[in-house]
Amino acid sequence: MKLLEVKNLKKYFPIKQGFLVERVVGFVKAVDDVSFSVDRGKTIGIVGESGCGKTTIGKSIIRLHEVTDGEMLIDEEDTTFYFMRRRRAKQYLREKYFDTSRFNNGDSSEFKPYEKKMYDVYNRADKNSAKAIDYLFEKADQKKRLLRRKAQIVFQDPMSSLNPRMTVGQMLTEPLLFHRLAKDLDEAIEKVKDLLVQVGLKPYHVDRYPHQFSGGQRQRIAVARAISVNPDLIVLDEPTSALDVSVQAQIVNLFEKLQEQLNAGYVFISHNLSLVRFISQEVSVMYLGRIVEQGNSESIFKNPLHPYTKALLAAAPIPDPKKKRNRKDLVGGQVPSPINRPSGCFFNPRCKYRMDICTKEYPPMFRVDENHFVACHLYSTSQEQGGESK
Amino acid sequence: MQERPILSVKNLSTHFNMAEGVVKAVQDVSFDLHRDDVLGIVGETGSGKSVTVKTIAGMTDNPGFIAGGEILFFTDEFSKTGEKEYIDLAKLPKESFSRVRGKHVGMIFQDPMTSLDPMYTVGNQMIETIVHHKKVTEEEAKERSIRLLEQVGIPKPSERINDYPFQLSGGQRQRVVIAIALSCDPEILVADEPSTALDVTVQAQILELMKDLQEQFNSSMIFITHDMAVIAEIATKISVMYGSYQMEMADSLEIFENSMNPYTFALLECIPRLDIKQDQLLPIPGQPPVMLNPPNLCPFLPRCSRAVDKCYKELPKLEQLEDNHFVRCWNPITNRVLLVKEAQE
Repeated sequence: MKLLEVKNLKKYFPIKQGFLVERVVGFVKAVDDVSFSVDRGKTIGIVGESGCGKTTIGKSIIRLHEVTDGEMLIDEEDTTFYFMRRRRAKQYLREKYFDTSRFNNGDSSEFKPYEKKMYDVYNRADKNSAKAIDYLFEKADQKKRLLRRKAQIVFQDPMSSLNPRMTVGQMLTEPLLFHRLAKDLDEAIEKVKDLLVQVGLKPYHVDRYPHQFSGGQRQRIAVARAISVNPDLIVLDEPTSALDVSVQAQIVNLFEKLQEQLNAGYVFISHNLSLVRFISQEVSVMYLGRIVEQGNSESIFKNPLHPYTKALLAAAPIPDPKKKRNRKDLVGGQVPSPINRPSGCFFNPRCKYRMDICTKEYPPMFRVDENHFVACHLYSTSQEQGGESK
Repeated sequence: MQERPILSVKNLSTHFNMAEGVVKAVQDVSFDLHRDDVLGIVGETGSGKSVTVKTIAGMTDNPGFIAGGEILFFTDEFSKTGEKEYIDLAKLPKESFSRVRGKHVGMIFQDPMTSLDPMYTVGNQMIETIVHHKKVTEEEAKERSIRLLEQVGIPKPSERINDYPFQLSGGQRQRVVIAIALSCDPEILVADEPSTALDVTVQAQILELMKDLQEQFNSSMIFITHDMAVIAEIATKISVMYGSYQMEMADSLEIFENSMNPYTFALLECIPRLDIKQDQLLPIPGQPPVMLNPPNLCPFLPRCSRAVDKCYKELPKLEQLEDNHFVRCWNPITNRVLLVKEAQE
């Protein structure tokens, strides 16, 4: 059973213009049609340059903002509508499940597990769509809590993600009490002390404020806060880029240790390719809001296929003076603006292997290996595999 | 056999007077910079690498002061006969520094948005520098600016010269900063984390550009970074700093293949690598030191696995252990092959 499945995720930010009366004049397509999945105990790395939408994906998974379109299933349960406003949630449910005649005359054995769950609800509501939607929406309130317990996030800069006016104890007992993982404050404090030891701090740190810690220790507190509710899924949004390398290694090892203990799935977002290679089993390479290459980490790093992935790997410096970079794969130019993306394949203005078709059509995901997908027309002879790659 | 160095720094110390005490940001730093050298200074946050070059460029303001040492710079700027001589930049008064900075020492900083003035066009800023240091008219300076912009790879330089910094992308801005730094043919180019604020593909472009330009302009460079991978790419000679001291200094290859200081060794072991698959990273335990009133001992001592009794009594000196290989350690790693094997097991 997949822990998290993201299907055709889209997040568009409207660009508004005008005084008093605002008009939407366009969209920044931060994330456009992205699909991937994470298993328990596994890590998927999302790499890309700034502005490619990797952080937006992280925030969408945690639902720090409403998504434009797409589905997110956690433990094969549709969680997309939990945080939507009432009207939108109802509209979503009607369009997605209860408006079609599928439930009425379809064969229930053909349904996917998450559809089956909806079908059960539908049956319980006496095959009345409106009733079923109301029921689901009422339940969504409780389920929000559950989702917040299941999925957690660690941000890049611990100084801005920790409240400077709260002690470590106050910060860490709050989630425990909210999710009723501790009976009372005393029990919560005891649990917090255990947590601090678990992330490599000392129990007496419980009464200190964030400013009394060093950068690495602060990040450990942020990690402790994320794991305090025993989450199944943790989004790590550039968790080490504010840290020095000697401390970065400590934190990375801490992540590995905790993953073994919690059996959690990680979504590791980073621009640091070497770190992603080290920590993740699967990798998605993003460019301008879309995944251009996806698959098994080793197969991507050993045999990069998309010209952009090749360029990224060639551009990353290697700590060995004897190894010279592969100059032929380097690209010039900069990442275009996500408001005004090039037609066809977004990478075509910088690509060396550009063909006629590249300026006309955005390539679909091609499957080149059992677990290696690439969105590039160069590989169109390989078996085509649409947007839902897995 | 070796010609005279352009810059020779001897036992330089820079301290800051703070309310809580004296912050010793740089202590006992020494190096020689020869023509065509690229000296990489690598270190973590707070190791004193930036303060070192800011001191050399005369940019340590109150409460910072040079507590000791010499910065000997080989130049004809202040000699009466026009012959080249050594002047001590550490004793040079602030007012005279503007004749050195910009003309003989070009600076490139980390964030191009803060080193360029947002109120002036790129051209204005370039022409100002050139006219200040060279005896040329504004028209000549403009021509030179356009040529420089072309050299640093900005398309349509004659149009872009009228742009304001915000109209350029991050990579282009850094190219402009490089052009300004090179505009007066400086003997020394100081680059303080020039590629850190940039994306990896743009960083590669900037590094390639700097390598090419350094060869073309035949100047020497001091390159500061926290990234061992970037330093491997560009430097010919590396100085590793930690807690205000130089821990090790040697040729680039020597540092990577035969590091003798335990800190350098540990640092190389804990960086994730792109070219090979690693099973584990070996972190350095503990935290970087705080530079407020530190004890007069090796700064790496609390985190070091090779500490011996002597380490707790006396601060080691930067000593030449092999040809051109300086190490500050009482218990240096002399048989590295053995240690690598141990680490792997």
